[in-house]
Amino acid sequence: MQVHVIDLSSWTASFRYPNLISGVQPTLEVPPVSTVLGLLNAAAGQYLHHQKLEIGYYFQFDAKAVDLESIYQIDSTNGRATNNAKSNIIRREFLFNTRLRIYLTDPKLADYFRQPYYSLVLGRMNDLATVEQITTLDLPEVAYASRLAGQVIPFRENYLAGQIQALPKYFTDTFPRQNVGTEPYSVISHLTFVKANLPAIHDKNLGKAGTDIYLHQLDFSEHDQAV
Amino acid sequence: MELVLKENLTHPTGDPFADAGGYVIASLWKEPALKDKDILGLIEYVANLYINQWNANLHAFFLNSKITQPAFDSKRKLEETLTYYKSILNETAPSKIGYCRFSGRKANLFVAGRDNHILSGSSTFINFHHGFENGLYVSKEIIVRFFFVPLGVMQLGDKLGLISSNNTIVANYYVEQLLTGPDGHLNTVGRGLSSGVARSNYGIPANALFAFVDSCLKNIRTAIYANPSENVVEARNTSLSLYHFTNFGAKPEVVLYQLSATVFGFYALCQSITYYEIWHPFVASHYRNSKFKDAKYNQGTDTWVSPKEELAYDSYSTWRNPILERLLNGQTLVPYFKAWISTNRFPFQLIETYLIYINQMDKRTVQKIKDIAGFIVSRDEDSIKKAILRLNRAKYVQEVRQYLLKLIDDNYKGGSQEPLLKIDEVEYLFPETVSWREIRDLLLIAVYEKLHEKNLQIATEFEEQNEVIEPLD
Repeated sequence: MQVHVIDLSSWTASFRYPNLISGVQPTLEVPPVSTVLGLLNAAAGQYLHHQKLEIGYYFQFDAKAVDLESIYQIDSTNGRATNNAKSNIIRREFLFNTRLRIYLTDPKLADYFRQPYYSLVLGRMNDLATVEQITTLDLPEVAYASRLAGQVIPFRENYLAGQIQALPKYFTDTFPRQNVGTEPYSVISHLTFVKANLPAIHDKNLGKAGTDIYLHQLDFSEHDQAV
Repeated sequence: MELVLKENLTHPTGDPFADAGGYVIASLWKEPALKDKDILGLIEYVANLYINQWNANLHAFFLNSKITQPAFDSKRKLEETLTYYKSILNETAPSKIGYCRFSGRKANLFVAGRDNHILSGSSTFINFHHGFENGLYVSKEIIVRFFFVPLGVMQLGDKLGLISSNNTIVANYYVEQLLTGPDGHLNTVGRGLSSGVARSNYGIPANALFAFVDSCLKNIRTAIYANPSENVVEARNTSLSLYHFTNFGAKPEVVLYQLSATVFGFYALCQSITYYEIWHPFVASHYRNSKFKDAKYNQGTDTWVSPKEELAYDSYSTWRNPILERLLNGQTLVPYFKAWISTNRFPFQLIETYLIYINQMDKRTVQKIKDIAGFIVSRDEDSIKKAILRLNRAKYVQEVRQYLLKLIDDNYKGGSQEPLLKIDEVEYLFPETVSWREIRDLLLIAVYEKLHEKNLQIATEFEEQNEVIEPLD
């Protein structure tokens, strides 16, 4: 199967659990689909209205650590921000020395990464990413994935091992933004391999014995992207 | 008319807190006395329990909620709570239409803050949420599910512990045993003995997680093993996540622990009939407690014995244990295997499984280590003694390399037709991802294993290395 592969790297990355807001910010070990689609938008320089989209990705990192971060908490009166801001310190987990490989079947989307319009970040604005290379590969398809790692897989009907989290597929371009297509996913770290009754493409260049990549078949036609 | 679909209250969403609440609701609806109640009836039942038996002590969950409000008496707490949840269920509370960030469903969304939700941030500070919103916007089912979470978690040390799993039977079992187990809420509530959140016997996350695995292996075997009746130790892919959290006052916090499916499967193998007698003393001898510094583990009685007392498993299993903690945190056990095998029989097969499945070591690396160990043990007693001493004392990689070159030379001079190590096997013996110390330790482990196998008693001079000793509180 022909796929267009974008390799990105960054010193740091941080992907927050969407519903853990207080006190400490742990990081997911793989970005959600919405983060990768956000990267596509940043590269394109516009909000992309996808109908159907085929996309796979693989994420790995060398280490995980915790940083202390200053935050400013802004007071409000009757729902409006005031000029009073109180500083505080939170602990934020981050991933070090990360690599993200995106697999796309649409060459037009891959082309956006040749000259990204906005900065590409893997998490927050300080997690700046670099496009290492863009290639087109012919990768073999496998009927049953035996080496899934470094990616998120829909939980329903698969029940794969990993961190289970409700994660969005996309966000609207409204204000405030709204999550779209949230569903449970198995977040499978690059450190453990999982088998599944799922079709995949095999990338022999990932890891010692290669890795199977699940291609998400995203269909946004049922979702109103402008709620 | 149904105010809410039962399925939307109990179906897994992927959020561990919402799912724990859902499992609690499903379990309560299985109770004969509660099965006919609608969701508001269940809320009333649980609110009564929280207020009258738990003394409204839900401060670690919900800050400034109707129940925890100190200005309200019990009657008002109940009235206000029911009024609030009624307004959510019949959707008269302020709402806006959108996609629920937990269930993904398009619905009327209600604001979730620290009064009705866990770790969702304060609405006092306007920039905690996107677009200056005053909280997370979620569907009514999610608000209701969170009200039941306190019954589906336990007090674990200074925080609360919630265990979730990809195996829904396991996740459900965790909640069910808190409700219907011997000391479960539903058993104690009738006797007026339910005084608050369930308490774990363990204050340490690693001990609590592995104790839960023990409980799963004992009580829900069909959910864990592929072929439980044949006693084939092939665990299904089950991973556990422990959320160690508190939403208390100004210090909300969460620490996540992940027990991977490979560690779960390895631990299940160690607990099988084949390996239990060997694995258990290895783990048991490593418990540590600063209050029992002079205690020693007695393998015969499976107790820790100090000059003053003898402690059985129930007591010492609450102490810290570096083996369990390292397994959970993905740190190597090899130095511990090395120290243990010098004086105890321990099958290399189990270590091999650990290396291949947990450390993801190449099978060819393991095979080469076994080959070299076989050569060392095939020689005379004095050479074996010297080999153990040289390998164990090696402080630099050059010393190990020199010794291996000497072995290759000895093998050649001995007239062997096959070289001990071929040039293309060097990369397997010293892979980039494994430290030379680990390879050295594995060589020693394999040598000791073969000495045990051959029943060879050699007066070795094994010196314990400092790297094995880990300071514990």
